[in-house]
Amino acid sequence: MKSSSMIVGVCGVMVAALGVPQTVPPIAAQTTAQTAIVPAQLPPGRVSEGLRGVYVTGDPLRLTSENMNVGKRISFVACPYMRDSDPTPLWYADYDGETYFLRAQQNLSAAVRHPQLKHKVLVEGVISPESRVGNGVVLNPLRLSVLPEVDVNCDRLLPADGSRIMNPKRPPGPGVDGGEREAGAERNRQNAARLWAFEYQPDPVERAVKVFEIPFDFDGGIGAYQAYGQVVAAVKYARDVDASKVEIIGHRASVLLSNGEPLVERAGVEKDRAQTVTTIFNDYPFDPGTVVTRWESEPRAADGGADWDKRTATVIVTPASR
Amino acid sequence: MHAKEPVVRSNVVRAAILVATAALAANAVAQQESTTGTLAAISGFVEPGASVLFEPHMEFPNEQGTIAVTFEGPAFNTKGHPFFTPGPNGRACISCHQPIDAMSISVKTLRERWDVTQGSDPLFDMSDGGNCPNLPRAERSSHSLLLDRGLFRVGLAWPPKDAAGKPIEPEFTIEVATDPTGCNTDATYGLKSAQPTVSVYRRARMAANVRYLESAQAPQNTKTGLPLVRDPVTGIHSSMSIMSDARVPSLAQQAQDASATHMAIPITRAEANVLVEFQRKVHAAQQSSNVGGRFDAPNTPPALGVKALIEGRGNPPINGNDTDTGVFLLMDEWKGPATPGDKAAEFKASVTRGYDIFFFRPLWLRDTFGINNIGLGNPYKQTCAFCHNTQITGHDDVPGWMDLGTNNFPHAAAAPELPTFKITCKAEAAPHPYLGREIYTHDPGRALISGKCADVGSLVMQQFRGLGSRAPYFANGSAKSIREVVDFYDRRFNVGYTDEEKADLVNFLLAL
Repeated sequence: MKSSSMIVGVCGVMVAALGVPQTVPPIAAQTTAQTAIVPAQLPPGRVSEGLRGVYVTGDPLRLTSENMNVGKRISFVACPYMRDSDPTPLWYADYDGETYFLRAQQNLSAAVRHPQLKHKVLVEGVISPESRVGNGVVLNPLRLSVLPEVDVNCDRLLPADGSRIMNPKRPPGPGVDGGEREAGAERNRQNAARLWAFEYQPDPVERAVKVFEIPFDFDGGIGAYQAYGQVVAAVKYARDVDASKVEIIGHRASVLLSNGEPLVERAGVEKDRAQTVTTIFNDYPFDPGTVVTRWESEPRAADGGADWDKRTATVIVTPASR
Repeated sequence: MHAKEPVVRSNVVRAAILVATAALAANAVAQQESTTGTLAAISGFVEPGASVLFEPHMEFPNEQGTIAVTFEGPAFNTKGHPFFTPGPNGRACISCHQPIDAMSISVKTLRERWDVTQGSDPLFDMSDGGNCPNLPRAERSSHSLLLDRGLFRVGLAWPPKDAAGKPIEPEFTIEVATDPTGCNTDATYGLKSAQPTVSVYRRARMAANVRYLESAQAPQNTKTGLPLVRDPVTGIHSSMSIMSDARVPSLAQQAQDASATHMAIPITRAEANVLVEFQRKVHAAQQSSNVGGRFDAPNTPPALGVKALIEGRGNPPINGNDTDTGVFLLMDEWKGPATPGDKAAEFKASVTRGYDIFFFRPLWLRDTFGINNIGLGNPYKQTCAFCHNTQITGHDDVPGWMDLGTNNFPHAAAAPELPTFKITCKAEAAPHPYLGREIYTHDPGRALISGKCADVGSLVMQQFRGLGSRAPYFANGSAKSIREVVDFYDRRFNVGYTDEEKADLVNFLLAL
């Protein structure tokens, strides 16, 4: 491993080669250099959550060509691959001669779920003007869906290329926010207990029929962390307005890929979605008959827009009349 | 409640006071009195129905030093206590949850009981203490899985039923590929019998430190996105980490399940609650090292020894995978250069290095259902402490079932003595995320309860305390030693530990 404190300029980007000792798995140990970049080189607050600073290859020609595509929506299925970095690995996928940055490894609090080797991933996003991460074009917004069937051809784990992520969000190893996390867990427990209580004390809310759209991965189940919270938000509203009716409707959808081909979700996913949301509602004490569940088997048509918005279960909460 | 009974103070307990004194431990052998009138021939083994004093602090020798078992309450005579009172088959809870084995039971103890009793100990009841009930009880070979791997038979009805008793439509079919026990192919006890049953073989878990296992960190199962199961009696969300397949939501139901299946006596919820209250007050941990000295000595890392378990916040537990909390707090007291030749200091330094490896050394967690598939990605670059995260005990603070690879091929160690099942996932079901739709496994694990293909081979992880007294390890007893546990992880995740790192990890784990 090269050890140096030299600072060099590459394509106008300041790169520092650091000799930071670390204990890493074998694949990372294959790296021949470690480089760093000052976080200020990234558009603040834009590039993918999970990255507060990352090495960027500042290739002006590529940036120029990307500018022509900024705002272009792109959807494709590919094998994702991971490149190790210090300390946080990065996910990429290649499509039509281009490399796309998918995300940095984070934890379950990430808004976008992580890809998986042994599985293809459906990538849906919009090309962002943000600088490349590694050599990958940034997509923002971005949705990733791990396709359920095993594909052993998706198996690329690459050694570190010298990139060093500065201050990544929730890098490998222990966290530093234990107290905050414990406080959050305690709040969750208390909120759940309050919401579950038969004698619930409602919060004052505007009483109206309210619609909640619960997002799902393509062909898949609930995105465990965030979607659960969105269903619970619907549960809370239903309790706050003493709902007379909660209608849960599972949907099936499709995606229009960038190559022009449609990708339709499996039959039955609409039922699974409806039942998943119903299961969460049934964890709370609603009167019998309040929660009504149905599903629509006809896939919602794709139009090449934000097709991911159609992969939902709809929750319609009707307040009790006073 | 037994104030008028003469108390026989056994050396099981006396050894607790005068620890690691081999002479006393041996003396204990001669003095323990069982209800049958026979003399216990094994040092420290407590027979069901025995009249011994269960004291607030007891210690028993093991290979590393001593294991401490404590009770938060006054000493009591075990005679008549529900935990120690035998059922119709002669077994009590104490049968398989022995203080000398950190409230579990080791192969060493099982073999000693076999030798001493010539197989007549109720432990060897054919209902689950043999490879199959149809085998001759007197033959050692009929109990080979118990005597060689510490495994009790767990017979589970197939297909499974939900909590309301409604049959679950499984997402897969199950076939017996091989079964040297013969139980799964038996006309009376097997998969195709009148009452279809799948027999799997598992270790007994610790009946100590259980208050750390009970309560949930969150109302939802972060691994599935669904609500945690609620205890139907209390309405409280379950940790779903109590039994190896999470089939019951509370300690009370575990007690009822165990009493009915292992002791042949159904008990009420109220009776189970008595057992639970007892278990909540029992803690166990390594208390001293033959090399490093006592763990209640000054300047000992605070997580070591049983005191930390008594004083720790067990319910709800804390996720300790943070530098400001620590799974096993901090171990700075033992850090620092060791004087060459100072064996105690070298041991202590090794333990702290092992903890640092556990806490800080990244590895590629890969192809593991229950981790990689829950949104974190595959692989996931993390440390041991990411999964073994609960402060003081080291189990997972969310429902901890995962397919580590101890049951499923290709990662499972060769075990021709265990049954092998072929699982075929139905076309409409989601497959196992890394093994696909055709899986060979020694134990389908959680899938025998949930009926889900993705759950095949997954079992709930165990706590880390008292490891030195309860070999073998993993739910199927596939690791005879802690070194074999470390070797398994090294192979499974291609970590590349050095021999020194492995030795440090072993010292750290055995110090817990």
